[in-house]
Amino acid sequence: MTPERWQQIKKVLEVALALDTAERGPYLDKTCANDADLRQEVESLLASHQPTGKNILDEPLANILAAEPAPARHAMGTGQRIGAYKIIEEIGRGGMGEVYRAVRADGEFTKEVALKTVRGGFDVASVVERFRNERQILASLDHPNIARLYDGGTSDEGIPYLVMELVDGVLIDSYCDADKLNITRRLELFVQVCSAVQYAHQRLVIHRDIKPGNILVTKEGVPKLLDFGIAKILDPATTMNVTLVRPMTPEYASPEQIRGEPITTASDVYSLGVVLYQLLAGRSPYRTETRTRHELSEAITNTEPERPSTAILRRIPSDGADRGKRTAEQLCDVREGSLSKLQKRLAGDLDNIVLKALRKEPQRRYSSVEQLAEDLRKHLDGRPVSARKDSWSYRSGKFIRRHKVGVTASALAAAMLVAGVVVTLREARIAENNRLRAEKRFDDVRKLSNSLIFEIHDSIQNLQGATPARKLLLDRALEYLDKLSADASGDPDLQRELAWGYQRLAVVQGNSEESNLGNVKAALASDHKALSLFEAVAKANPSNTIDQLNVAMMHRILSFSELSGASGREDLEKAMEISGCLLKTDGQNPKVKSERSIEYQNLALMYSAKGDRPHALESYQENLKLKENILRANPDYRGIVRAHAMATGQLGDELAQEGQRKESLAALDKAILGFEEAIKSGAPPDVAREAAVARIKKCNVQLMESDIADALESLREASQTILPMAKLDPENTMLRSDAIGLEFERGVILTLQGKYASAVETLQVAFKKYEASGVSSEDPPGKGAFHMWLGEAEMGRRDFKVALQHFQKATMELAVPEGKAIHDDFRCQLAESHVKTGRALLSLGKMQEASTEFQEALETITPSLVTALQDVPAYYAAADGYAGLGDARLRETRSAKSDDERSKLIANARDFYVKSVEYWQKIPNPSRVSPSVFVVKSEGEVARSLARCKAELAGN
Amino acid sequence: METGGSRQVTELLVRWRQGDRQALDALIPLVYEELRRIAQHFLQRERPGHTLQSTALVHEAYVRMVGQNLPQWQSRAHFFGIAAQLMRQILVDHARTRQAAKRGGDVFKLSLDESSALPEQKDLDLIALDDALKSLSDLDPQQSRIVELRYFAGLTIEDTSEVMGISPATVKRDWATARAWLQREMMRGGS
Repeated sequence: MTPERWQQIKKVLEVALALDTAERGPYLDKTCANDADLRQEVESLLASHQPTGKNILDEPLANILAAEPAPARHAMGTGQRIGAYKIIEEIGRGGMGEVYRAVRADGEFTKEVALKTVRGGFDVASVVERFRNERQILASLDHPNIARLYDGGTSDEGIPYLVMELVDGVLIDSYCDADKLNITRRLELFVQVCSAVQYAHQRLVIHRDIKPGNILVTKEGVPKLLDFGIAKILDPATTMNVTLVRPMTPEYASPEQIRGEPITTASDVYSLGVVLYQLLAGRSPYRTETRTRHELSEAITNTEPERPSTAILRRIPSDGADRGKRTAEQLCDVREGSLSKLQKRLAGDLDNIVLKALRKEPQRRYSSVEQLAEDLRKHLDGRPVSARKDSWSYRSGKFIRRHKVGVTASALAAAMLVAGVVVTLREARIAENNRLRAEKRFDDVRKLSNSLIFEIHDSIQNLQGATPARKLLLDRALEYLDKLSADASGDPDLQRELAWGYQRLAVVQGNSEESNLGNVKAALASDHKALSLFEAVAKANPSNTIDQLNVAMMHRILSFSELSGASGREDLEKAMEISGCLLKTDGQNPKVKSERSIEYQNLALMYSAKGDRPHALESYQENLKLKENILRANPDYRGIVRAHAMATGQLGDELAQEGQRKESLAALDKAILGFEEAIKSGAPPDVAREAAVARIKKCNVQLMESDIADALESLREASQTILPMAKLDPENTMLRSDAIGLEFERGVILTLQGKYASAVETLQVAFKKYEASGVSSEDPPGKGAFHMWLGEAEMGRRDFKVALQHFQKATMELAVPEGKAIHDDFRCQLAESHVKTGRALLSLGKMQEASTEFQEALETITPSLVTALQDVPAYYAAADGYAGLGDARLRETRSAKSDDERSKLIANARDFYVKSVEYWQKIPNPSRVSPSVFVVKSEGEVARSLARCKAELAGN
Repeated sequence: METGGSRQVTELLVRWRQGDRQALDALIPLVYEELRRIAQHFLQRERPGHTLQSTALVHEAYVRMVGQNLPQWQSRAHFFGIAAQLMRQILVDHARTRQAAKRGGDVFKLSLDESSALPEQKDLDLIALDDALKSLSDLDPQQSRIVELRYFAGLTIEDTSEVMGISPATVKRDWATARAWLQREMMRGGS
C-alpha cells in the first residue's frame, strides 16, 4: 500500500465509520463504483473495527497492566500415587514443578524420598529421553554433600518426575543466619559445598544451577547440594555436544550463561562465587535496584561487582521492593557482631577471592572449584592466598575496549547522573527528618565520591579526545560538592563524606595529564576545602581521634604540595602539632603512629630538599622507629609490613648520600626482605616492583663502592622482577620506564668498566626506547641522566665533540624551569652537568669556556653550600667544580707567554685544588662516584694535582 | 522548587523548540531514564488490581523533570511527544525481552517471584501492535503519532489535539481509522 492509496482509503473509511451500519452499503456502492479493490479494503477495515472493548487500543496500555493470574496448579494430594511412589505431602514448589515427600508404594523400601514433578510446558518425551541419557551418571554421584538421585519416570497421567534423596534441612543462607555463624564457620561450610561440586566436576557433571535454594544444611550441619545436573535434563536446548542453557535462576547465573554461551565448570565457579558473596556480605553482588531481567543481565555481564567489604555498607531503602532486606547492622549481628569487625574480616583476602570467582571472563576465574576451595582453606589457615585485586589497568582497559565509542558519552552521562544525585540530595536535606532519605543521601555521596566520577575519570584518563569530557566531569563534581557543602554545616557525617569527596577530587585534579599550574591550584583549593570541612568536624568532636587525625592528614597532604615553600613548612608544623598531641592522648592507636610517621617522612623530604641531610636522615630514622613500633604492637595493621620496608629503604637511600654505604646496603637488604614478606602475605603485586626499585638503589650504592660484580648481580635480580611484570602489562608506563631504566643502569656499568663502545650502544638503544615510550622526560632515569652518561662514555671513547653535545643537552634537561622551587638534588645534578660540560670543553682545548662552566657549576651549588648544612652531594659537586677550575688553569700554562704568567697560573690552580681538597675532606667515606651517580675527579687525583702544583711552585 | 536537573530539561526543551536538534539528542536519554524508572516502579511494585494511568506516569515524569512551573505550553507538548514515543519503546522492549527469553528456552524463568504485570498475551499483542505501528507510520506518520500519544502516553483526544496542534475532530477521525487499520494488521500478522 502506498501512502497515497491509504489516504484515499482513509477518507472513505472515515465517512463509512460515521454512518449507521445500514447506510454503509449504499455509500460504498456509490463511492467505490469503479474501484472494487478500494471497496474490499474499506470493508475489511470496517470488519476489523470491532465494537469498543475488544480492540487492544481501546484502553491505554498502562491501564491494563494487571497482575498475571496465578498459574494453574497440578497439585496432588496425600495418598495419591505417582509411578511406584505414594505422595505423603507437598513440601515445596518451584519453577519446574512441585516437590513432594513420598515413599515407595509397594512397601519395598520405607525410606522417604523427595519426588519432583515436572510441570507442563516441557516436552515430556525429551525430558524423559534426556533423563535416560543422564541417569546413570547422575545416579552414580555418591558424595556426602550431594543429594542422591534415585529414580525417575513418567506417571500414568504423563507427568515426568524425579526421585531424589530427601534432605531434611534448611537453606544454607537461612541456616547461617539463624545460627549466627561467623565468617570462619560460614567459610568452613562453604568449602564442603565446594568439595561436592569438585567431586561432580571430576565426573564431568556440571550443576548449572547452584544457588542457596539448592543447598540445604541438615540438623547435623552437613550441607547437601540438590538437583545436580537436573538443569541439563530439563533444558530443551541440550543437544549432543552443545549446551546452550539459559539460566534457570538468573540471580546466580554466570555471564556466559546469560549470553547463552556454552557452559563449563567455570560457570559453576561463578555461581558458587555469588553464593559465597551472599553468605559473606548478605547482599547480592549486583545492586539491589537491579530488578528486571534485562537490568540483571546487564549487571551480570557488564558491571564489576562491588567488594563484599563495601557492599555490606550499601544502604537498603526500606520502601518498596527492598523491604525485608537487612540493614548493615542486622547483617553484622548474624556474622561478626560489629560492622567494623565484619568489614575488617572481609577486606583483603576474602574480597579478592570472591571477586576472582566472579570475574566476567571464565578463563580469569579460578580454573577449578578446587582452587577456589584451596584459596579459602589457605585464608582460613592464615596462609597467603592466590587471589589478587584485579589490576586497575586491566579494569579500565576493559572499560575502554567495551565502550570505545561511548566513553566520552559515558562521561557526559555520568556528569548528568551527578546532577541527579545532587537534586536528590538537596531534597533530602529539605526533608531533614526523613530518615530513609537521610540514609540514601549517604549512599549517594559515597557513590559520587567513590566511584562515579573517579572511576570514569580514571578510565578515560588516557583516552585521546576525552579531555573536555574529563574536564566537565571534574567541574561538575566540584560544583556539586560545593553546592552540598553550602548547607552541610552541623551535619558531621555529611561533612566527613564531603571532605573525602574533595580530597579524592584533589587527587584526580592533581594527577591530571595536563597538570599545569591551574590544575595544581584547583587541587590545592579542593584540599583546602576538605581541610575546612574536616576542621569543622574536628572542632565539633574534639575527643574523636580520627576526626583530629583527618585534620592532621590534610595539613600533611597540603605540606607535600609546597614542600620547599614556607606554607608547606607551616602546614607540616600544624600537622605535627596535632599528631604530637594525639600521641599523648591516644598514643597506642596505630593510626596515630602511622600518621605521625608519614609526617616524619615528609619532614625528611623537606630537609633533603633544602640540602639539610643530617636532619633528613634523623627524620627518616624517626619515621622508621614509628613504623617498627606499629609492626611490633599491631602486626596486622593494614599495609604495615610494606610501609615498614619502604621506610627502611628510604633510610637506606639517605644513608648512602651521607657516605654510610655499608649501613645503606644493610638497610636496603632489609627493605627488600620486608617487601618480599609483604608479597608473601598478600600485598598487591606492585610491591614486587618496589623491591626491584630497592635493588636498583642497592646497585647504585655498590657502584659507589666500586663493587661492579655485586652491582651487576643486584641489577640482574631487579630485572628478574621488572621484566616479566612489564611484559604482562605492556600498557603500564611506569613498568615500561622501569625496564628501560634497567638498560640504562647496564650502560652506566659498562661505562664504569671502561667498555665505552658497548656502553654507548646500550645507552643509545635504551634512550631511543625511552623517547619512544611516551613517558614524561622527568620519569626516571630521565633524559638528563641519559645525556650525562652518553657524554661520559663518549669522553671515554675520546669523542669530545659528541660528548660536549651530550653534556650541553644534559644541562638543558636538568635546568629547572623558572618559577619552580629547586630541590637540592636537582641543583647538585645540574652543577655536575656543568662540570662535565667544562671537562669536555677542556679536552677540546677551550679553556675559557670550560672555566665558565666550572664557575657556573659552583654558582649553581652555592645555595646548598652557604647554608652551612652538611650537604654531601653538594660537596661532591663543589669539589669537582674546583678541581675543574684547577685543571683549566694547569692547561693554560701550556700557552703561557712567560714564566711569570705560568707561575701565576700554577698558583691559581693550586688555590682551586686546595678548595677542592677542602670539600673532599668534608665528604665522609669519599668515592669517585657521587651520590647522584656521576663520576667525579677523585680525591686522590685532586691531591696528586695539588702536589704537582706545589712541587712546580717550589721548584721555581 | 526548581532544581538543576529541571532547569536543564527546561532549557533543552526551549532549545529544541527553537530548532536545535542536539538539544533533543540530549533530552531523550534524560526523559527516557526518568520514564523508565517510574514505569519500572509501577510495573513492579503496584499491587494487582491497581490501575495505573499512563497519563499519570508521563505527568509524573514531567513534573519531576520540568517542575510545576510550566515554561510554555508548547514545551510541555513537546515533552509529551517524546514521552509517548519513549513509553512505547520502554513497554515494547519490556514485552520483547520477555518473549525473547521464552523463545530462548527459558521456560523456568517466569517463576512466581518474578511474575510481572504484563500477561503473556498482552506481550504478544504489544509486539504485534508495535510492528503494525511501524507500518502505519510509513503510510501516515501523523496517525502513528496520534496512536502513540493516545495509547502509550494515555492522552485524551483533547490533550492529543493540543500536543499535535491539530483539531480534536481530526484526532478523533484519524484515531478511528488507525484503530481499524491496526486491528486488521495485527490479526493478519497473527494468523
